[in-house]
Amino acid sequence: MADPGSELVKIIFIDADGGTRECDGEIGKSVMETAVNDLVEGIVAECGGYCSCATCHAYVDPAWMDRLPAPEMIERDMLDGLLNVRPNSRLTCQLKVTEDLDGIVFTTPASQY
Amino acid sequence: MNEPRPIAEVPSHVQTARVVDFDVYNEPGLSHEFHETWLRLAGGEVPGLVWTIRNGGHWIPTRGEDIAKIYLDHENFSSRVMQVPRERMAGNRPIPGSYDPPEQNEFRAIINPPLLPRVIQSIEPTISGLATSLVENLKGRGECDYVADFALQLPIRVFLSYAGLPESDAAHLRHLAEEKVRPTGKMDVAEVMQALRDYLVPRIEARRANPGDDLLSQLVNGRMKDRALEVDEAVRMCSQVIVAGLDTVASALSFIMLWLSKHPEVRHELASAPEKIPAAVEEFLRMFPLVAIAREVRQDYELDGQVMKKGDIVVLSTMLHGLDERIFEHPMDFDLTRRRQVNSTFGQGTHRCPGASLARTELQIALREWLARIPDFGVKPGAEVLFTGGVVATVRQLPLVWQAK
Repeated sequence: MADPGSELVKIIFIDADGGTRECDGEIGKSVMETAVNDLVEGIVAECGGYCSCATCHAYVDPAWMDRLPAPEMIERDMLDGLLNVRPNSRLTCQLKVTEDLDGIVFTTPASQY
Repeated sequence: MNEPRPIAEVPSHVQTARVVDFDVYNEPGLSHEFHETWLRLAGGEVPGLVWTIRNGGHWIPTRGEDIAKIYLDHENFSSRVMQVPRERMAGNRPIPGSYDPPEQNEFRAIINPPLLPRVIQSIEPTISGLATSLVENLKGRGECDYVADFALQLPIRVFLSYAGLPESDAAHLRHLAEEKVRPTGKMDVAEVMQALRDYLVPRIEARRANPGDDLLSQLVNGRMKDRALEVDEAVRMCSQVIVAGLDTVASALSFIMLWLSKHPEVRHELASAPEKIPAAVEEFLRMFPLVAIAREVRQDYELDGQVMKKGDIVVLSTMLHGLDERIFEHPMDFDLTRRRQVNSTFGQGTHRCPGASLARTELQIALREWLARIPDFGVKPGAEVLFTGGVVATVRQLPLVWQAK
């Protein structure tokens, strides 16, 4: 739930079947938290945001890739071990919501396991 | 672990209405109705946080929401104490389970990669082969003790195969792993660790001299931020990986098979539509959590209107999360249409089980291969199925019978 007065940006999640959800992302929170707060089913986030489960995997729309900070080693190591990983794969718990991300689009994989 | 534990004095900061008498490992009732007995602790008007006088005295949060909150908060809750009473941790510092960040993160960076889904997918054929041969060998007998003959056999064999160790080591390693988690009194903690060290050190050294792509090689050649692992650290890490993957999978499988023995309609559904097994496994994981693990309060912390003091111990019951009716309606019902919500069966936060992908795969394959060959089975008439509580609960025996063709 966003705190009153906090700044919000739009974050769009498309599921593997093409269903689209437009969520309010609170600046400073993670993209994963935005999804979980809004009950986006494609993001499981079993560990709660500690980069220790890799069940918040999503594909970032290629047009937005350059606007995200590059993944750190811990995220790269986890991504390396996932199924269906692509060049635009990210772990959404490692991405902070910022003003620049207003309108960003993520597609969630068919399964997080 | 079966000797009666003395009753601890209640510290003055504990509100009287929160005091209960509940032995998280040996509460009467756990042996016959394991999950139901846990649920009775959390039922009715019980506070969200209770204090039990058993096992040295400690807190137990009773709501799934609070259990998750504490799992996620390593800054207020340390993993240094994983069992109660805290004296049981003497001389026992598992890696990475008993460490906190940032050190814990460095250990996890070594353990995570070889257990991630892509690697596990690549060993799926091995797991299927092992599961198939175990069921094939049992099929003609018409009966078995599912725990000893299948559930404990599969994970140790999977581990040995992935670790590049001979199958003939299964009995020895299982014996040591069991002594470590459920001491029989024949060996003390130091003796068990020494025996594990004697087994592991030469194998670690061989893999350091000549690394392969097996699990053990990957673990023992892992690096901390700016140094190699010490041999003792490698031993403790390998020991925890071995121990953590045996009882957990064996118990989960045994609880599931016991439930399936009483639910022929679900058994038949899964046998005829094996594509439903992964979703069924998720629901079973929610219904049959097994772990009661401790944390130590790092600084005074208020929960449910009660201050827990620095140094107090909290036991997190994963049973009370997956079966919390405030979160999961009719929690004891098997329901594949539930909206997915995270539970704590694999823990949460920085210690969330790194072997979850392997565990899920083993459970799915074990059910699929068994149901394909023995879709109908029941508990042997007259047999009593008993459980043992602990950090990881276990099913002592599960005598199953079926029509041998």
